Order: sequence, then structure tokens, then C-alpha cells
Amino acid sequence: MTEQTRLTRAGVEIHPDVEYEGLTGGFSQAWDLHPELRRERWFTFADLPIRMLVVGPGLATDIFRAFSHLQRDDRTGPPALTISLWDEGETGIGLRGVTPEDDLNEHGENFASDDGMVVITARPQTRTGLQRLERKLVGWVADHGRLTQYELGRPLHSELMLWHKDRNVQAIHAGLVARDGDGILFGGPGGSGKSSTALTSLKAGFEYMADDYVGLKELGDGTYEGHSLFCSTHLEPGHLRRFPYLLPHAIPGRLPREDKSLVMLSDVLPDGLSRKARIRAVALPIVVGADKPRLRPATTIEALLRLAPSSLILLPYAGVAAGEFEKLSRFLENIPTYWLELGEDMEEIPMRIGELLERHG
Amino acid sequence: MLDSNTRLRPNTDDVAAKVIDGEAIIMNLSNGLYFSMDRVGSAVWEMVEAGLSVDEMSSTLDARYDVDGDAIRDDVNRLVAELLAEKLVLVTETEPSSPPSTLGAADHPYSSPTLNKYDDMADLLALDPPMPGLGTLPE
Repeated sequence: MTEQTRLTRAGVEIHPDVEYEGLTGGFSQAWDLHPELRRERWFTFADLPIRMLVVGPGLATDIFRAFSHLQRDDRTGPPALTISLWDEGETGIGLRGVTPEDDLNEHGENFASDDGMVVITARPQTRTGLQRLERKLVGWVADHGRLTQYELGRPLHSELMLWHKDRNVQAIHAGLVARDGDGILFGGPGGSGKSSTALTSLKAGFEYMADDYVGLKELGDGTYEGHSLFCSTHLEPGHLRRFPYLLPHAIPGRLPREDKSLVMLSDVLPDGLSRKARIRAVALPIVVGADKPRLRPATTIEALLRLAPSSLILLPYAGVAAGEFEKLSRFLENIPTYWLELGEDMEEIPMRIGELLERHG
Repeated sequence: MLDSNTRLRPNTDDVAAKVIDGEAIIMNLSNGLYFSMDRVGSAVWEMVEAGLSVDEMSSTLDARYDVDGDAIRDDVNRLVAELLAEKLVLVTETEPSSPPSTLGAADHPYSSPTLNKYDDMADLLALDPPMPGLGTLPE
């Protein structure tokens, strides 16, 4: 069988298997030459142990931060994924045949091997390779100081979406908060009020998992868990002002398209962050200008229309699988769904969330 | 021009769809457009999935509702043309492998089917386009 030809937008031919070998070779060189720059942490993604090895203390700080709430002390047992990264700026070790692009506004490109088991993600300043069968993700970063706001807030985003998908954990575009492990999932497109609802609930003492991306896992008994992925939130300036407690921690964007501020919630309310929750109901925030936030039942199709498009279309990898749509439909058919009508007054949002948990928790 | 014997099938390479409680949601994952249809429209979608011809769809609805048959035929032809134009369905030569199921009695009055189109995701699709053909991990 002839291997497909894959070209980057710059017209450079990519061979995913060769590219992956180059990445592993580059990482090994950096690891062997710079023991003093090695950093290692373990995390828990979707209940599974993840080992992260980074050569470059600056890069390690940047990468570990978005997952800090998922850190684990237990380092026994084989990891379900080993992530190995190195920083060229800190180690002096480059990636053979690759030079960083100056234009950070360019988006990433994905390239899969013919059998689909090796996936290369090329971004202007980074390149990663995911070996799905070997459960290994290896990556080069040209200079961690030039990582985009998106890369800082959601490191390895598309790579981890795929890894989750391979473990039957569907990454969906949603928020999630909980009390005593019982969670309410917030579905809706950008600007619908997911962040407002999640952040107001966090401040009111709820456990916070996410305001944007949640790993959805079906349990054997037909119930569902939501898993946290990142502890970051991205807020527009007007939106950020409504959360004064976040203002001192806001990291402004540097690129024209980075019009939001990034906040690492682990810097603000680390004790409020949690790894997972059992999902008891779905709330669909919608800004309607109501005096007080209000709940009313939503149909399954309304919930699907609210949750599925951005979950399936915006997430790389997941979108192509009709099976993912079917899973999301099944989830919504088996869980109570509500509209959460929002207005100017956000104070009472946590009360409505509390009411939902009293009904369904 | 559609032939009354034309059969269609969902464009499953690009499209995911679901009918729940008499309403349909259809997503074209290749371009970020998504659609909804209520009662009669979702019935048409189910008949597309079942492999009925355009003529059989009209006849089925005609038997189901106390409405002028020509009006139903016009509605079905229009809706099918829209589904084709949006590449949500494809013409197929394949006969249904099993006899097409018939819809039960209607529990609602007839209304002309509408394909509601939503394009708020289409611009965002370009940011991180989904990658086809990855396949699943072997067991």
C-alpha cells in the first residue's frame, strides 16, 4: 500500500511515523544530556495515571500548572499515558528538520499515519506525536516563553481529546460543578453562560471541575461521570470584571485573536477544584434578561441542540464519529435536563444549582 | 428534477442525525452546519433512513394525515430537495434490505415540514478542523 502524501500549509511533506521517531529521538537526547533540567510529575486523567516528563523547568512550570488540580502522589503501576516534552530554548536541543514558525496566529494541523495510530500535531512553536497503541505522547516546544494563551490554558488539547476518546471518555463542550461529588453539567455554546454559572458556583463553595471542557464517561450502571481536564478559564474583559476575585490573576492575551484573559483557577481557589463528579442533571444556561435566574424543564432535543454542535464540531477527532453523537444523545435521554435562564443578577445562580441537586442528587 | 422513485440515504460519511420524541437534529460535521426538523420533517428523515422512495414517503404521509395529497407531495419534494442541496442525504440505487417500516398513526396535526438551519458553528470549524479516518484502537 502506498503511503498517503501529507503536506503542511507551508508545503512540507509530513510522514507521521518518521516524524514520531524524530520526536522520540529528540526527547531522548534532551533527557540524556540534561539531567539537571528534568522534571517529573504524575497526574490523574479520567481516573487513570498519567506520567509527565519534561526537560526544561520553565516549560514544566507552564505545562504542569493547567493540570495542577489533577496531580497525584501515587507513582506506582504502569501509566495509561506517558507524556514526554522538551524545550529547545532551555536545552539547546532542536527537532531535526523543523524550524518554528514566527506567526503564532496560525492554527494547528493534524496528520495521521495510514493506520491512524500515530497522530502528529504541528503548531507554530510546537510539534507533538501521539502513539495511540503505545500510550505515548512526545513533544517539542521551541520556546515555552512563546506559548500562546490557548496552549498555556489547555496544553495538548487536541492530543488529550483523542487520548480520552480512545478510553471511551468523550470530551464535550460543557461546564461542571458539584457538591459532595454530585454534579450539574452546563451545556451550551460559547457565550451562553457556562463560565458565569460555573465560576459563580465555585465562589459559592461548589466543587469546580470545568467551565469549558468535560470528559464524559458512562459507567456500567448507566450513570455518568464528568471528569476535569484543565483548571483554566478564558474570560472576555467585560465578563472578567464581573468576577473581581479573578482580576489579579488574569493573564492577558498577546495575539490579536487572544481577546480573552486567561485565569488559572489553581492560583485562585485551589481547594475548590475537583477531579470528577457523578452527573445528576444537565442545565442549559441561556441569557434571557430575567430578573433572577430561573429553572424550567428542557426537552432532550433542546439539550442535544445546545450541547452537541459545539461538542462534536469544535473538538478535533470526536466530530467525525457518528458514534460520539449517539453516545451524547443517549446520555441526554437518560438524565434530567433544564434551561437555566440567566439575567443580570448572578448572585442566585448557586441557589438554583443547589435546588437542582436537591431534586436529583 | 427528482424522480418519484428516487431513493435516498443519509450521507453518513459527513452527517450524524438523531430523532427523539418526534424531532430530528442533523449535523453536517464536514462544514459545521446543523439542522432541526419537527414532526413531519422528522418523519421524512426516518423514512429516508428506512429507504423509502420519494413517492413512498408522500404516500405514507398521505395515509397518515387528512390533508390534500398534492400538498403533501409538494412538501416532500421541497424538503428532499433541501436535504440534497445541504448534502445531508445522497441518492442511492440500493433497494431497502427489509420492507420499509410504516409510521404509526399521527398524534398531531399536519404542518408543512421545515428544515431549520443553524450556522453559528461553521466559522469556528475552521479553527480546529476535525480529522477524518482515524479509526478506533484495536481491542
